[in-house]
Amino acid sequence: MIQLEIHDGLNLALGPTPVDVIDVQPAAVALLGADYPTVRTQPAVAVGDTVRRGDVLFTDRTNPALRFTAPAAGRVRAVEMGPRRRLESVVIDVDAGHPNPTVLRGTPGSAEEIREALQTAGLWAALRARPYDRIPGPDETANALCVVALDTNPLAPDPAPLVQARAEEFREGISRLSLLVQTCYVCMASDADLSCPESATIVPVRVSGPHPAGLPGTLIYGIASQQGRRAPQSPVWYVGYQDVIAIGALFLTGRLSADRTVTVAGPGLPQGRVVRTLMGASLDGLTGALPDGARVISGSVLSGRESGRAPAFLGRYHQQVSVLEAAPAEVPDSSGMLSLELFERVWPLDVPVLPLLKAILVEDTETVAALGATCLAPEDLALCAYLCPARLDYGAALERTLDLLRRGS
Amino acid sequence: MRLFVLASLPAALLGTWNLGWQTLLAIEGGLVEMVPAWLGVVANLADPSAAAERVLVAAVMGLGTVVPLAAVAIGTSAFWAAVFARMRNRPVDAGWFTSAWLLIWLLPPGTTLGVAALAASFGAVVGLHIFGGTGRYLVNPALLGVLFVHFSYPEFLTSALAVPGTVVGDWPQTVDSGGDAPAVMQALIGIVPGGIGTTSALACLFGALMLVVCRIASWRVLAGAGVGVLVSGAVLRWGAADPLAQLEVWRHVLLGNFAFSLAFLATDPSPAPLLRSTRWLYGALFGALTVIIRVLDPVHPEGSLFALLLAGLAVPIMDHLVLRRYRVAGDVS
Repeated sequence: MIQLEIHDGLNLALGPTPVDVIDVQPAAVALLGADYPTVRTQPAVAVGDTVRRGDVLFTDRTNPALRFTAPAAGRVRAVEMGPRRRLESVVIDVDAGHPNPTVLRGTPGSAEEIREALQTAGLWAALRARPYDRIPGPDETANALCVVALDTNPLAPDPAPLVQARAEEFREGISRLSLLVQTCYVCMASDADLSCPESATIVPVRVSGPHPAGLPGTLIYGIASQQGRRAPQSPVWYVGYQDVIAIGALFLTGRLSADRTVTVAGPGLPQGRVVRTLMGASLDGLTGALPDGARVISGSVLSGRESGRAPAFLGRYHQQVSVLEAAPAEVPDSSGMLSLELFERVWPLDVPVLPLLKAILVEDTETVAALGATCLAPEDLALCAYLCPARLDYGAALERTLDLLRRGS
Repeated sequence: MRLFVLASLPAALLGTWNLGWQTLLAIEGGLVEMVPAWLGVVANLADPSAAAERVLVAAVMGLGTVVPLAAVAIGTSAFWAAVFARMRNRPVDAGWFTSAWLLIWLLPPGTTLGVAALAASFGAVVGLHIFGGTGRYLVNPALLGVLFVHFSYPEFLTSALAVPGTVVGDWPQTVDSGGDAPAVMQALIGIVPGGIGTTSALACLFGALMLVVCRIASWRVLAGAGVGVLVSGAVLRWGAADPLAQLEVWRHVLLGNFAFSLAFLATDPSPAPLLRSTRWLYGALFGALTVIIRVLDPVHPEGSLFALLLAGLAVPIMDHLVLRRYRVAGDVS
């Protein structure tokens, strides 16, 4: 067992985390290209096709084994392509009466069989790898896997009730996933009433402290630092707790579970709530009626995605929907980065933050690599961007710089 | 950046009044030969025995000198900010006013309006805009502007009064012509000759604390500067015979522009160091160099502005050297 105490950070006070749970059957679900920026998508369905849950919607052109499957049965309403043949979205009108087919036959036991089962069911996309924050290649291996069973984002759902309610699936998921890697770290809040199997390959990590304590980046660097390293030395995978439950359910029942429990809350909504729905659900149904001008963000208020005018759907890796009041028109500021200690106060990692921010703003890939910052993701810099007086978008800058590094290497 | 203006307001107001007060004292004492007409008229309004009246007259004399200087400095900076914003098709730089504002209080009081415009232009163009504006420059524009005056118009250096050309500088400037160091209380409150807004160490301390509380300034820079002054002062006191070297070490903090430079220029977050350790180093270097220049360089007895320039120019190399410690062995990709 590892204790991880995070001291530097900031918990935004956005009101109480909602507790009332309701079920919402979405009218439409979608898979969004924005969730898979590193995937070169190849659609496998056309508008008007009828799909069952678990049917392939698109694959990765460079890795055809990487399949992305339908979270619900229904009719394909739209396959939208963006610039440079990038997939924008595949939207399905949900047919609720359709039965959930079996997608897994037999009982996979070896690591190879588990890998293949996950890829066939489309659950391989639940795994993500650092450096460069991407879905691991179908044949890739990693030394460590972080199961993220805590969420410190403002207004994020508490994982404990869900994990307790589906403890069997959770344990099954962990034990199957742990066969794919050398060490599986199960990260939980130190005050959460959760248990997990402990063995030579499964190590529980108890995490305490303010946000960003629960971000995968913080956990990955925190575990590396416990082992006396400033940054992880080899690729690390991570996976969210809801996906672990879905993976466990796949191996227990043979069926694909696409359930998502998310919070819908924020200053723009008088009464927040916890919603049980499906992956990629349409946000209209989740939020209900909204006050005029309210902004709906899929994901955390710090690092989530605002859809603007397009019909909005829940992101693949998002576990909350944030609703904000109408935004005041912001005056763009032209100033550069200011060297302020307030960035250090919200930065728990061993990577020095101000040199990092300076380097990514000028796309200095050499310094970013030398600082060991390639295992970071834009969400790790969201607090810095939130506090920056010049309102600089450090997340986008990091994405650009890491993209350059990835192409160069 | 607006916080810098707010934090330096007490120093500015006190300095403005002090400027008038010092000028009034000099005129009454017959130290000044050629008094501009309006100053003479205003000075004569005060009854030498009525303290309240003299305080009021001093304020009028101070304002009468500072307001035109401020108008010229701010107007010139606004002009350059507008020119560069239009040229680059970008919003007006966020920090142009702060730079102009800080420059006013660093100027020697005898600076003529033309020189003030030149200083503001040099600071704004060479210090601020050619680097791309706030957050990107290397040396504080106000510092660069006032150093321009020091280099190009050294005759203004020793003018601590509102009367151009009068040689009554602050004490470090005039130490070689004899005279004692100002009393501690006077130097602390700022009722001594000096730069327009830089005389009051107490007001500067208030400003520095305000910036630290508002999390703009780094307390490490301030503490480092204190350490630097104490260490270099102690060493030089033991080694040099200069009257400035024989001063109690801590009194260097009260003298000249040091307190103002430390509170409002050294804490500027744009060119500030990027690491905790280099903040200490930067502060310490600034403090140590101030005392070293004061004591060992007879031409520049007011060392803090030059010390800050040198310390500021050393920041990138210090950051670079310390950052090598953070390099990760091996390649993660």
